[in-house]
Amino acid sequence: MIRRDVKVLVLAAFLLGVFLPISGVEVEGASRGDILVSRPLAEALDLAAGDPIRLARTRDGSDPWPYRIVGIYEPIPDPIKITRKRYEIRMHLQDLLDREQSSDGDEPSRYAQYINVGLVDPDRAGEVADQLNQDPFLYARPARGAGGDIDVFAVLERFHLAIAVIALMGSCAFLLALMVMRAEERRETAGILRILGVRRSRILGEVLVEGVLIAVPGALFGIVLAAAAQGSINRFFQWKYDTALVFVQITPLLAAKCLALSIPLGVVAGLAASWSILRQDPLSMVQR
Amino acid sequence: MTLAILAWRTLLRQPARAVLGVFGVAAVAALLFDMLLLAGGLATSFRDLLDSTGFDVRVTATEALPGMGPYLEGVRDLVADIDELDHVADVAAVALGTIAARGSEDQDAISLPIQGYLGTVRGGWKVLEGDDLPREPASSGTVVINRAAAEQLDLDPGDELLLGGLKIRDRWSAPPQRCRITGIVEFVFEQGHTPSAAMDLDTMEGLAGRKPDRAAFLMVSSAPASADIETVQAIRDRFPNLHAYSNAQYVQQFQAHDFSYFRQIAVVISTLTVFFTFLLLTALLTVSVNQRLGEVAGLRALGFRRRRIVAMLMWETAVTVVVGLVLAVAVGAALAVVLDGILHDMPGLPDRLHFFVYRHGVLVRFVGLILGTGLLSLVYPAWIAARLPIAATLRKEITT
Repeated sequence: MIRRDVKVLVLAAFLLGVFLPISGVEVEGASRGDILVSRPLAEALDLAAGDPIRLARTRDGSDPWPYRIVGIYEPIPDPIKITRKRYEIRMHLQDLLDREQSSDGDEPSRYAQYINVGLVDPDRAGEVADQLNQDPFLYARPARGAGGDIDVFAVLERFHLAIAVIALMGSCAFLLALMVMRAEERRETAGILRILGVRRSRILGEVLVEGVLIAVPGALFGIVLAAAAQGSINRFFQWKYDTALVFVQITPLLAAKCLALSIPLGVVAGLAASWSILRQDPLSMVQR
Repeated sequence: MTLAILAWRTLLRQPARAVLGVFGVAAVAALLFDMLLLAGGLATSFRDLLDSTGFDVRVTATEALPGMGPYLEGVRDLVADIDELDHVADVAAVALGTIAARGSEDQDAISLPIQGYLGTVRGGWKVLEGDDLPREPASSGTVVINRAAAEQLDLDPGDELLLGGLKIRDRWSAPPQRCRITGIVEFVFEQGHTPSAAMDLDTMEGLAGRKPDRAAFLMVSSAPASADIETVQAIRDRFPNLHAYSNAQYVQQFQAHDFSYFRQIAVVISTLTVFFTFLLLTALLTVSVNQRLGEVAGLRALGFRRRRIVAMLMWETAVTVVVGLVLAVAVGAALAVVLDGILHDMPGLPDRLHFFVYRHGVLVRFVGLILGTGLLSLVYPAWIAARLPIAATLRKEITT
């Protein structure tokens, strides 16, 4: 505890958040001097809720101010900032402004990036925003729908889906090539069966059953493999990027989609390859 | 008959298999090509955007990207002071804001993002129609708008733009201010169909009815004899509280933090793609060799040496891979446009910022990776063909 007590966080530009992004928030009923620390920062400096901490704005840690950590929070995961170390703290806005005033000895700029406003009549949000927007140095907008219709995650999902489709096309081409080779291997056998009077549909039926018997365990194996690997993949990337983001998640719906896609593809590839052989003359198939 | 012709004829003997193999290589290699474009594409594109403004150094109040952090205060004095530094050729300050805009009094207002510009050398937009903002101080009251704003407000150069004001129940409680449009421009960081405008800082402050004398960031161009890094150092030395970065340093920061996700995913998918190509080519070649064991044994019995058999397989692989590569570049280029379009739906991205960008060396790296993978995938099937017991295989071929 003593060690933590003397630990000084060095903040080069304390008020502007150069080293650590600092958010000043006003919370009714909260005590001044209390701060929240992000989990990555708490882990890096071995901090815990209840610890006292001193913050300075210079690299040498001179003229520090005492604060108390009242909680550790998990920063909201953001795929765009995945490689950023989320070393962040949250403190009362007034603490931030007081600190600025005492350090500079000048009139503080009272700078804030944004202000959240609660309206008596929320339906008039647009009207209030218009009124504020008369000043071009201000930008007000109704909070509802402010995030826009498109979010980053939805775009990333579409991007990943497109990549999956391309990979699937490549796999299909290779699968078909392998199936054609397999059919070629059985050309003679199929020719003899045709000469003996076995109908094409019967042979294709056998290929179909065989395809299902191969495709179903194959697809299931793929899903089991993915499910088994997801924990390791998530742990690796969560460790690498120090984030709570979940990278891989095999849901029942996803597994069902994979089965619905891969089993018919496997079976159809087998049938298509066999049909290319079976439509030939039986004598040419046995090469006699 | 040369080995190349023999390999070519072997492939032609089973055209379906050969074509499917080529398509498989083309599809997977196209994905690899796109991932190589993605790996550094965003940084290259971002650098091009920064360079296209004509300024090589940015100055901000914090490490935050321009426009994302606090304002620079006392900007007029700051611009004058920086302009006096030896390494500096020109300085411009940019304030960012938003204001209600109309084409006429009876029109509904749109929210118009604006830039207040302070500086004699213009940067950050290109004039498409009409004229640029006048350079003399008398330019107050003039504005340039982009095509989206012109279309949404139905305005042309020479028309008046109504800015600000407040209209409640069809009556003006505060009248708008009128600015003359000098030209239609394209902004470097323009986003989709978002309307935008630029005006002198004085005009912007006039609209606000106050003079905050502040800007989001400064753009500095180095003197011809000075390197950007020297200008950065000169600004840092003179103003230790400011943050100056060259375009290259910004790109480095951008690459390390913002959007680094795409670099990471490109590396992961590239690795998987190479592995996938290796696995599939090995499977194809192995099955192919296994089907032709008798043929290989026959050639060996006729006096073909092991290395000629391996060379023949190499030619077969080379034909498949090279034809697949050529297709892959064409398919990959088309796919890159599609994937770039998907990612461009992300909110807040400039139109001219691209994720998939061709850079020097990408093609060489791509060809090297695919050819290397092709060679590696040849190892096992070549080993089978080379170690084949001739007599036993021929006997087996005859008896089955």
